[in-house]
Amino acid sequence: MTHVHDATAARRLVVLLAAVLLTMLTLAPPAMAHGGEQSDEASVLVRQAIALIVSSPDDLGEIREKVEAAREAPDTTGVDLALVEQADAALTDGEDLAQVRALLERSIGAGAVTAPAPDEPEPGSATTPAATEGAGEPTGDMATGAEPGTTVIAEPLETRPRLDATDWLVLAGSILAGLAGVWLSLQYRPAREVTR
Amino acid sequence: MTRPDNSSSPAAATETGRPGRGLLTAVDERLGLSALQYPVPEHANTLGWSLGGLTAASLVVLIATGLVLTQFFNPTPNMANPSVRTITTEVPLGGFVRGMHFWSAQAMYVLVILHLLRVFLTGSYKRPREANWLVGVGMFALVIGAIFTGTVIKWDQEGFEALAHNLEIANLLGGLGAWFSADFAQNLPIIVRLYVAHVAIIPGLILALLAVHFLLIKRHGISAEPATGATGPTAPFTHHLRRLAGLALIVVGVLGMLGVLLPPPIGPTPVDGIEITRPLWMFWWLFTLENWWGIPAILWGSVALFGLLAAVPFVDRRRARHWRERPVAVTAAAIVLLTMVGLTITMMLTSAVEHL
Repeated sequence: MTHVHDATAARRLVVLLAAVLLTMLTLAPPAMAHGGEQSDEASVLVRQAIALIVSSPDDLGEIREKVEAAREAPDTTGVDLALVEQADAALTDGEDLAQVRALLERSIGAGAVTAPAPDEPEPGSATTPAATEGAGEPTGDMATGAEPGTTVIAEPLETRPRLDATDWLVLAGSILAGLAGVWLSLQYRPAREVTR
Repeated sequence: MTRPDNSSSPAAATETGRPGRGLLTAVDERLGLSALQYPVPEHANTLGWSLGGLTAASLVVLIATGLVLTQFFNPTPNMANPSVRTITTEVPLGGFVRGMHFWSAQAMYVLVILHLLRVFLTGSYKRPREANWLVGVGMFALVIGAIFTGTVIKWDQEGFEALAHNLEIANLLGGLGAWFSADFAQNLPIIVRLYVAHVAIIPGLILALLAVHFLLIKRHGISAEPATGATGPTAPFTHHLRRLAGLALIVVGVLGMLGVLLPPPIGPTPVDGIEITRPLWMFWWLFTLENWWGIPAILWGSVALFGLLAAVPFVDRRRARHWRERPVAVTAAAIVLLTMVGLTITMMLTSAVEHL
């Protein structure tokens, strides 16, 4: 008898949970699918163009599209459009992408990233003020919500190993640990594996 | 009647003949370690039945390396990416520790899947172990959550795009997704909350479920051989632990080698509004679904997978445990697995696509 009650109660609980879930999903606003809207802020579009140069430099069409969108954006706050136009011209002339990037960075006040003065710290490093605070923006601003929090686009850090003495030591230790593990697991394998 | 207190007596050492033994006896008297010598079936010492223990070993590596990383990682939007670079390039052995952390997360993901497959194929989730299967499925979900949050908090373009997907799915979930949305705590960067989830909430939940998992294994015992249904010869649990220690050392050794030879990269600092990266390979099957049907497919794909996993012990209730005697269940599982592999391979062959 108790089992029957339990089963009924469990079924009701499942139905109730399903109903709550469905209601919440039904009331949810639709999520964006393929193809979001282009930003109307030139500074955002310039940053996107720089990010494309950093991450996918072969995608020239996409880079050009972002630069042109930045030129035509209704909100040009914080952007030197003359420099964006120079970058656009450099792109059209087939100039080096590093130069295009430098122009774009200067247009949003982040020019030190690709062309550091000799006494400036390495761009993108942990101690670089530009990398930590966001060049061209007031210092001390803390990003909130899902804001990226940086205006500087640091290069990806490739970590291809150039092994130094410590690395070799760690590697040797790892190999020894692995070999010790093989020996131990063979030593303590169950009798039926030994029989096989 | 009280037991004689011989704790400080040298008799203990003399009795056993070796001072080391005496120490062991003394420790055992206080901690009751000999209770671990309870018998378990000998087949528990095979590789297949040690996969759960190896998953736990990966968790230990993850926690140990994670503790080191937390000393140097700065979980704020402005500093997260640079601090990962500092760990990699300036902290002594930082790159190695991060590499171990990265690879042990992937090892844990693979091992937990292999463990689930072993439990499925040997029918070890069947009565009375249904609850423990659900606990295991819960831990699998948490492992994925840990990998996801770990990806986001390094705060490079890849992580930021993963976050953007997370936010869209949170919108899709409505009230259920409130915590995952940036609006939940508007004055706080979401990376801080994801960091707390990564280092405290998720590991805490995993450890809590792991304790329940172990208790239930102790309660129900190791499941018998599926072919015979008999427990067979037994061996002390301590023998299982020492065999596991050997296998775990192999895992640690391989992770160490990968940490040195294939250190994980760190991508560029993130920019909003573009999609130019691919997610980690564990999420590729979901992203193929997204390419076909949009962002809601990520949600429905995940719900379908975990719904199926949770339903397993309630659908397959026959007593037969050997995989040959369960053609329907095994075929269904093979279809699900092959579908996921097929979707993953499809993602390998396509380039990054804009969804947001």
